[in-house]
Amino acid sequence: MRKRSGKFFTQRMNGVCSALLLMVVVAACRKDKPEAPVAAPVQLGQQGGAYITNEGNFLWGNSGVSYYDNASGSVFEDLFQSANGTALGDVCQSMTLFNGTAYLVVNNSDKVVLVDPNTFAQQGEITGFVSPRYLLPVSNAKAYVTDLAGDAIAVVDLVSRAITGTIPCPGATEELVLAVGKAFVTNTDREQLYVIDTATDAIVDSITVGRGANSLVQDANGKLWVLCSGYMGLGNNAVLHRVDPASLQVEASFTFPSSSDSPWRLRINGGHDQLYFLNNDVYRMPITAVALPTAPFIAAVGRNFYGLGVDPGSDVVYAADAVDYVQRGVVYRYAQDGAVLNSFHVGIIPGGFSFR
Amino acid sequence: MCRAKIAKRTHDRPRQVGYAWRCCAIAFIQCLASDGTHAQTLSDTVQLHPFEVSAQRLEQFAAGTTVQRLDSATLERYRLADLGTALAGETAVFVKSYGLGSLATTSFRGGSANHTAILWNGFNIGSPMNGQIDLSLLPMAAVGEVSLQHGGTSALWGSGALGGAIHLSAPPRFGRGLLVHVGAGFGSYGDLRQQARVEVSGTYGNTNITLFQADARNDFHYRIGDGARSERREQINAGFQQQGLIAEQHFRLRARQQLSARVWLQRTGRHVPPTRVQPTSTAHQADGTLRATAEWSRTGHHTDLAVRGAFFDERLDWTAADDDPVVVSRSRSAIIEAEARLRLSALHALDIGLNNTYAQATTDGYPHRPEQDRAALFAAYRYQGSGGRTTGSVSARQELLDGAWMPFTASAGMEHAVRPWLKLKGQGARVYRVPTFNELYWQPGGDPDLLSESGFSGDAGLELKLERGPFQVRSTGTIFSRSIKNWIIWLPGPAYWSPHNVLQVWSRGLGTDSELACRTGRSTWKLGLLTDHVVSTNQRPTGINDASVDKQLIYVPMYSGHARIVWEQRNMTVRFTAAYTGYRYTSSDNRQFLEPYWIWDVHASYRLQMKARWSTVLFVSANNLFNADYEIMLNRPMPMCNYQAGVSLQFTKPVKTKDRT
Repeated sequence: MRKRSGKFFTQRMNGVCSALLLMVVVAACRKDKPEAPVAAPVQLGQQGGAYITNEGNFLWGNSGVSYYDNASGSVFEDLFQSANGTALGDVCQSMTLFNGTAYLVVNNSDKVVLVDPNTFAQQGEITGFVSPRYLLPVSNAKAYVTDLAGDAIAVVDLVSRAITGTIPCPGATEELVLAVGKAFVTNTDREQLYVIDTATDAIVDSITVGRGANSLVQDANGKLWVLCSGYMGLGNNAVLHRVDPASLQVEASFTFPSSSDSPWRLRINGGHDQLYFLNNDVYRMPITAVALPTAPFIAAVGRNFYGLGVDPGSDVVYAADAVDYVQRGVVYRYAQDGAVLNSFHVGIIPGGFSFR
Repeated sequence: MCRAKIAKRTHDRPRQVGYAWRCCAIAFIQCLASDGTHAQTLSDTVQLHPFEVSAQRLEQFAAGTTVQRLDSATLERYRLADLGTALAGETAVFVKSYGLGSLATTSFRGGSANHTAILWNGFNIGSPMNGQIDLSLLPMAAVGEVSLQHGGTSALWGSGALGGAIHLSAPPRFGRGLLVHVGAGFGSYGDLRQQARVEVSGTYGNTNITLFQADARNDFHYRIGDGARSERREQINAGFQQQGLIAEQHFRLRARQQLSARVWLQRTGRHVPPTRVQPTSTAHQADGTLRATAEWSRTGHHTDLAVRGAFFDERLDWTAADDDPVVVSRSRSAIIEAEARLRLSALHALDIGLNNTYAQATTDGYPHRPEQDRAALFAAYRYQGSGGRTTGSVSARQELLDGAWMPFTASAGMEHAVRPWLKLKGQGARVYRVPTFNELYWQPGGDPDLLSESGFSGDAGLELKLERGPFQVRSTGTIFSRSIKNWIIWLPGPAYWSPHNVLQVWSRGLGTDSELACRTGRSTWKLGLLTDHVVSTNQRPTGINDASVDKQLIYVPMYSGHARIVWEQRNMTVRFTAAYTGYRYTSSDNRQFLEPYWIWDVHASYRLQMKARWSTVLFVSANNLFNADYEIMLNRPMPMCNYQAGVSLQFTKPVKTKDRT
């Protein structure tokens, strides 16, 4: 009996061990080595294209700039790494093309990197910022850089590539434009649109706007459109303002109906008569509209739209899906009738577009 | 968006109140004075079997789970280090360390940091604000014994124990006499550590106090940039200072009763160094902790009873930059638990208990002062049959969170010794985690409507022990599978980050732990191998372009392991270890990754018995012998070859034996 029992256990043990071994083999078959990225030399076509700034993850240093070539439809996933053999830095917030130089604002590396827009070879950098966001040239030799945490706007000499001064402005300053010879600056922490005299580099006035002003554009009539995302916790609904930059008066305000609306990324087409913005979906609104659009221009349907751009030459609309923010984003190109032209992968957290 | 992230980092953990140190020191001195008299006169032969609640619940009612204990030699080796360093060096748990002296959290079997329950003498010390604890803030001098319980154990320990549990315990020892232990070590990068322990242990009382202190500059060198642009940089703003004490008082009362009280006071100040891609950093944080527990227990012939309580007060002062205001986060928890254990017969035992955990926290990020009250009823049953060869246990737990029923949790496990040298194990459990304060209330972003994470986990394994001549073999192998739905992750939005119940994660894998020991003459050789294979994948797409489905979660190495060779001869021990950590992906589509690395260490120690009562241990160790340039977390540099050396001195004076049997 004991012998039989022992045999039974031996057989059972053999079965269990075999099953375990099989599971081990099956489990261990999974390959963990990723495919090596394909390195390609940077060669940008002459037919124009779109630069896409990819923020990357905060503190991970995986930001980059992708490029879509209009003529060939080819995509470079990371121009800077390919051209310079090193990473760009931490959180590439925005890119400004000006006088043959691309200015890359690298937010959490506290710097602005200058590159040749054709080769993307680094030409220099401007350091000493606190948390830079957007750069606006106000003359051939001078630019302003807004800041998230510095409570000031930096004044930059584009020739010497150095910060020459600051314009105190408490709060988090965001996008800015030049109109009627003055710089208009949004601030997400204050219910004000600030007006800077570019000759004296001083705030000379401010206009009361909604909470969370984050982006603005100038239309064909010279008017400024200011988009404020609201602040859910404080009960401030989002609002879109039309402002006359000459009289500094708010001419019209369009309040969003729901406290959950959080619009941002206000953009305008090449003709400066159609506004575009993100509010989960992509919305389009003519500058002559008397009410906010109720139906989206492009519905998100399973996409996480994070970046928006409009090619001023072709009026092609670029919308970027950041997916889960921890993988390659997908950029869609749309014609003016809303039809998808194509889509392609870019870097992580695509947020900004610049066109050449 | 960035600002929101900065803010989110500020509420991890806390600091302490100054006057409490003085009060506890005075109380402790009084205890020390009173207990000494017992120690001089009484015997250690009276066996009263004190009722150590958490220890017994782990031992008796967790059949089938894999438990790894750090042995006394390992604890001695890491006595001056922190728990994160010890776990990284000795276990298969992946420790996500952000650098020397920086934040370190765990990943158990592909889980996230708040999927590990960390229990100090049975009380969960995870922060109610973020559900985790920074292992670099837990000095080994303070934590006592360390056991790792793998697998889902929510039914035994409550919310959070999805991947596993780390048990830190210091069971009182009676009748040992006087023990004085002092140790000091120094190492690379200005590392200086000291600790001292005095323990007076009589038959009816045990009084002990441990003091510890650490100071390090952590100014190691590393390279930034690639190729020709690379340059050598010295780590800045990385200093670390820590002081603390643990005081314990245990009494054996008549009628087999025991009364225990523990106080753990600690403060840590540290600077937060820049990443490779940040030009500089002036951020710093101060953590202060008060942990106090008390327990009464009674051991009967058929029934054991225990009532225990704990109070935790944690504070974190975070400063993002020198000129910035200090952001203060503070949490307080009060836990009370009553437990009864019934020995129904030689084969059957039943454990039932009630637990109430109250937590409250304040920080700028919360619009109000959130409170949480969790009441739990738990029960566990154990059967031991087949002449002790088979053990089975079933446990269940039902929690009530602020009046709402939480998911019912249960687990069942079994162990069977098919041969004296071979044991089979299996366990299955339902597991869950309730959202933390940050996930529920952080403004902006927190979502009070978040659902609890919940799922199932199962383990199967075998344990083998053989002895032939001079050889001893010990080996365990465990396969596991765990599926969690409503997995919470923080995702950025247009204006701020917010947590979402988005992922469904399936984790599975295999872990082995083996050792071959051989005694030759006066020497003993040991070869050890620890391997871990974890596949942890998201099974549910977050959108139409989501390429993360069936891809490994970020920062979960699919393969890792340790190999060691130990040579022991009389009082001398030399130990070589090689640790491998495989690819860790840094993007959810697994296209971006960190390279694998090998770390080779050597450690030598020599014990000198000077007189009967005096002994000293000298040690020296060299870490990362071959200068591996590695990162555990992206852009967080780690040190090249570095050294530590130290000495400890121990004095023991046993009590005079007076046999009363």
